[in-house]
Amino acid sequence: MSTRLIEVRGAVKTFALRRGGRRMTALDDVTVFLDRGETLGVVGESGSGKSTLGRAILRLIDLDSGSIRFEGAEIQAITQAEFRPLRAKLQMVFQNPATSFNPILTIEETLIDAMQLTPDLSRAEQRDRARQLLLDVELGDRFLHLYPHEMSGGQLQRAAVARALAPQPAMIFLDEPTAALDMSVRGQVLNMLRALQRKRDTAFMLVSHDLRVIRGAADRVVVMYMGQVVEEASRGALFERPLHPYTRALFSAVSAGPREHLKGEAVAASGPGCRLAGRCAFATGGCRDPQPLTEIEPGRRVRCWRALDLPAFQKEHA
Amino acid sequence: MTALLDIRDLSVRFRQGRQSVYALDQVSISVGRSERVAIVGESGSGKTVSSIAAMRLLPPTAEITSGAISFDGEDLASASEAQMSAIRGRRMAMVFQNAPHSLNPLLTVGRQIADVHLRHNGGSREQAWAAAVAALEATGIPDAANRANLYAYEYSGGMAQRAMIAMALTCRPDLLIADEPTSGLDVTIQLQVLDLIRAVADETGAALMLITHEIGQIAGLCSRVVVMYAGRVFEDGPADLVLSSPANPYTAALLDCAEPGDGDFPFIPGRAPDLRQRPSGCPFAPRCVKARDRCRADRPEPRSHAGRLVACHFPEAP
Repeated sequence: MSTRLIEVRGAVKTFALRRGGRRMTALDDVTVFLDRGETLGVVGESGSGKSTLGRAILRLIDLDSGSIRFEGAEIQAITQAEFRPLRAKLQMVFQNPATSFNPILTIEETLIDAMQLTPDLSRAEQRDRARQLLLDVELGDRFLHLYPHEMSGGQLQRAAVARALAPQPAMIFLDEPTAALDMSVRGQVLNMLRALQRKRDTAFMLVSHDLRVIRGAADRVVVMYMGQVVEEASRGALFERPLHPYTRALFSAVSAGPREHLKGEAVAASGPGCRLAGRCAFATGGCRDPQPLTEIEPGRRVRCWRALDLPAFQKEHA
Repeated sequence: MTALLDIRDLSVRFRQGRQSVYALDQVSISVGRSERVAIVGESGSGKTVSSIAAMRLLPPTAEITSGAISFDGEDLASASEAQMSAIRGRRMAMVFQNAPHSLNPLLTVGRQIADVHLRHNGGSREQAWAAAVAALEATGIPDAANRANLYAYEYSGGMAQRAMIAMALTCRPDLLIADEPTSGLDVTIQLQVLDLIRAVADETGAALMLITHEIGQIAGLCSRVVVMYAGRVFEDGPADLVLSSPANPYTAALLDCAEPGDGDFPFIPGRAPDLRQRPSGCPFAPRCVKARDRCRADRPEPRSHAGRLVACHFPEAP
């Protein structure tokens, strides 16, 4: 069995804006992959395309062009009916656990409901598996018979991971899974995800705007800005030395070091050059040229021609 | 010298059906003239209730059960609605979270700011409009003269927050209360908004009460920090002291969660406290790794310790 689980190539997705018939480009020639059992962190702000990418992989939206392969087979060009058997394999955890559960079902009923996507199990087997799933996400038996309103946000989000695991998926897309949680309980969810990964070969695609969350759980990281991948690296390499000015600005927002600010706000690109140039403190005339995503070492890509010449990023105050 | 805002032993209870939610429990917070104080806490800590109590904007289900609030020597608890209207906006202004939803959707942004100006400063409509455009310009909104004619939905989140700040500052208030002013904004925009708040506080000399759950936002902006938990003040002291050597175990744990390293993501076990009950001991005791019998039996009151106030029986030595 190959290690490559999902391969997205040249994904393009545009959405119509209500006014003036303009379109916004949510995904602009995005190529990423996900290996079996790894956690890929996707980081970016609103409009970066990170959620659109996940939704396209789950076939919740269709791409304008490009291909998505799952276990080597194309899943973008097939019909929804053909895709249906794959639903069990590709699962999702939503941002707000309080609104993503059926309020009139107990957690056990919710988990058993999620098992309907997989071949028949006896009632006893379903119950056994529900209990085991709760143990996997570090919740005890006593949660089986609770209703969502009786649980805290952190507990519910762990139950949401259990629900996603119920049909034995190959991949779970987690869309800002800790954004609605208090800082003090985020670690409960992120550490549990890491522990799960050691026990199973489920792959995770973890979307967040917060690099601290990505650092807490990802093996590999893709940074997106305005629909493009601007940097891709292993977690270690990225946190050791962020290269793209956008990645550096995201770091600045959550670290104690001197702050590297971006000017203004994200605006739709005009011209073929770097999308960030208008906001970037390091921009020069050369940034008006197209910026290819360039491999600078194995597994590390960056979309900035100046990235290697910039002064090293200061993580702490000198 | 008396404090500008002085909240003394304030207790606030919310009615929720037949139950009571004890939102504030003998909270004392003071803000001096031109002082910048951060109120930090997680959901249910009472940080927002403290600020809306100071503005006398508590909903009808809330009841002040004890304590006093005074502003510039004037007792706010007994002030008439007319007296409050004269203070609110003019002397004490508030910036809310989720700015696009806090602005009036039916009026242009310029008109809303002009109305505030007109109400408190008098003068002609033309003067008020000019003041509104100048205020938008001062908060860094590009092309302010034209953007003043737009509606809130035509503003990005970051621009709407700038407009809120512009509105709060039209009357040059003595105190600016900012309630989670960056929540919902992209991280790179958050830095810009915090910089703006710092700049306007510098320029106008207004005192600042910054309410936030991100303890990392305080450094370099506020000189004093008040840490709240379960409707109580847990620690209150100079920001550099509290952030570098926290005395309350909760403050220390919260700081760890805000700055995770490469290993397991730090977290606080358990869940946020149930405010329908008032424990006899420290409300943090069930989650505190250092809790002893005494913590579960008597509630610690804030007392002087190592240059600050700490509500803990066993504070860290400095």
